[in-house]
Amino acid sequence: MIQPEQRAVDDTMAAQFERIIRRVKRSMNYRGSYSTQDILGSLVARWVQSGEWQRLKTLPEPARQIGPSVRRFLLDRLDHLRIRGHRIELETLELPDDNTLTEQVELAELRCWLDLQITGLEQGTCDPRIKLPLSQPLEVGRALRLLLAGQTQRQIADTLEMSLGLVNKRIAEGTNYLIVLQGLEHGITLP
Amino acid sequence: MTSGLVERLAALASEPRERWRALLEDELDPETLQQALLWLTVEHATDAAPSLGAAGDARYTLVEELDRGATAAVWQAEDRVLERVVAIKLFDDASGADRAIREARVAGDIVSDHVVRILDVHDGERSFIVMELVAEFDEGGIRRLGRPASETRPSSLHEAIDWVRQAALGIHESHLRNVFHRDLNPRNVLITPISRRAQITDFGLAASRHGHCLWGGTPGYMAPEALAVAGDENARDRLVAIDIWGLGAFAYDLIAGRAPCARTIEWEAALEAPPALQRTANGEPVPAALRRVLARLLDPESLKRYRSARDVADELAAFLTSRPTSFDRGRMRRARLWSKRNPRVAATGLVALALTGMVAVASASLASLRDDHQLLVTELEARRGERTQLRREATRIRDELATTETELAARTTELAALERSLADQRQLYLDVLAAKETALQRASAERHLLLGQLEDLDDDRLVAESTRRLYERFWAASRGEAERATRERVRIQAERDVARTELAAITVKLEAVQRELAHVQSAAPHEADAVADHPLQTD
Repeated sequence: MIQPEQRAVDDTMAAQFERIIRRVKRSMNYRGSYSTQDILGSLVARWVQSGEWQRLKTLPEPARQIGPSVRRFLLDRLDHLRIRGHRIELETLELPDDNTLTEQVELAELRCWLDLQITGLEQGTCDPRIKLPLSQPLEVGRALRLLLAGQTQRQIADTLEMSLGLVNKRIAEGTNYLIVLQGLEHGITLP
Repeated sequence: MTSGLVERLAALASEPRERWRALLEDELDPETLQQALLWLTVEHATDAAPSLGAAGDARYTLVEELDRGATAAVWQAEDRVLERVVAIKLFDDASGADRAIREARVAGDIVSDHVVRILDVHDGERSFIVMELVAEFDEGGIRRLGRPASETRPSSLHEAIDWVRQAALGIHESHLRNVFHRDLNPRNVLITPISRRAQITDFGLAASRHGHCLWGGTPGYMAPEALAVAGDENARDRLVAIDIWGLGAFAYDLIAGRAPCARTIEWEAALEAPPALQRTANGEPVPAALRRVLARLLDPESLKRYRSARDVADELAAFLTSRPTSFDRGRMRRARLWSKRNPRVAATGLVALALTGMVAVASASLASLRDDHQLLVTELEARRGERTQLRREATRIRDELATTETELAARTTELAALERSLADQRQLYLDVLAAKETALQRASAERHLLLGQLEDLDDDRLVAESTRRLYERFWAASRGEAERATRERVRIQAERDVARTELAAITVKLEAVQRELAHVQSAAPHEADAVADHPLQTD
């Protein structure tokens, strides 16, 4: 019989892994339409790329203050947009709270991490921590790169001169590979 | 590859957890097995059809995932109660409940052949919308699913414009109910597989009285003012303009095979105006009338776009049926389009017009010929009188000509004599000229010779000059020397005079000494000799 505490640990780990699956899949899915949150999320990604997050990470925890820094960045970018014509008044824009911002920052970091891993696959290499490596990392890497660039699976099939089914399979393999690797990074071990 | 191991583990998926633990302890190396289980978990999560919750699962069976977006997936499903096939938009997370209800309310109010109908919505354990499945049966009775326009490319420019026209009709219906789609792009327009009709779907970002998120759109298809409409007092006009832009972006993509703007998260770049479209994706030129319509649809200034989607549909219908568009105001252009629409009537009219014209021209030509004949008769008589006059004049001129010819012969003879004389004189002058030229050459040679001599003389003169200056310098030096010699001679003469005077004194003294000596010799001959050998010592 499984002890209750063991089941609780398993459930926690399963929930964590499910969260990882959802996050990676959401980051990898073809992003057609963008809502306000998506637009703000992409702006937060640019904040992470600007190096400000790296700088904040060097500060002690109480002095980090992610919220003010991100909000200042967002308002600056939106104000820049406003210069180009009739734009929304910034007062009417409800900026995300700190928890949402932290979540968006984590997602932005995840996107950077995914980009790095896909670059490795494009060079034909799998992460050595993966015991069951991909058979065609090069094809998987190219398909994922085009997917991240916003192409549909049909467009990817045309570009890579592959069948639609094969593209679908490569994308599924690549997404699963990234999920497993992300799980390993977070110390997930089943059962 | 992983599949073998994963399949093997998948077969064990139904095993109780205790059995898995036993496998882990007894068989594979633990790390590999753990990873295999991770793969299995992921693939299981990917492949399995999600649950719709208790109520949803009781009524619907999910069959196949048709499409997946950022927050929701669309499934083909079977409605077990009504025994029909439907499409279900299933939201990924619990926060989808509000979105599902809002989207269903927004799109459910629209009735149009060109908008996908909403059938039901569930906001229980899982939130999902039940929609009409865009599909048709072929002649073999097989169900064919509709696909997005992004995957079903139009077979011709005509078909592409017809899809845009149908989408405009659907958008017009939504605008009549104050629903503004805001996310028109080829992915959100489904094309039926057999009849090839366009149907708009996905009102997830639509703005309506049920509320909406602040911004929305798809990179590459968003209107330039897409981030500016919220809180605007003219929001309705601007929301209409955004959908008009969306129709233009949809048309642009269908014709060019690409989005009108950059598909990037760099929103500033994505909001630039698209370049003008000259050719289709197949390289065919885009008609000028269609280019003007596209330019107005995609005008960066929202106020310059069409006022309503109905106007767009009418404009495109006019283009498709060769009727005048709002740009075709000229009569010639309208007549040409009318002829294009009614080629038989136009051809008959043209033939009748041509025949009438020909008869009119023939009648006019006959009358004109008669008038011309009368004029010619009158002119002929006048010309006859003129001819008689001219004959008399010709006779007179002929006589004058004979006289003139005689004179001309005499003058010609004189002229010949004159020419001979002139030739002789000319020869004479030429001889004189030759002689003068010879003399001139000789004089010139002499001149050159004289100039040479003159130059030699000049050289001699220069030499003499320098010699003279040299002599003058010598002369000046010699004269100084002579003066110094004269002064020396005077000085020597003076010294000689002094010496002579001294000599005379010495001579006197000598004579005195000689006399004294003679005196002494006479007194003592030996002493006298000694004094004689050293006379000066004596001084």
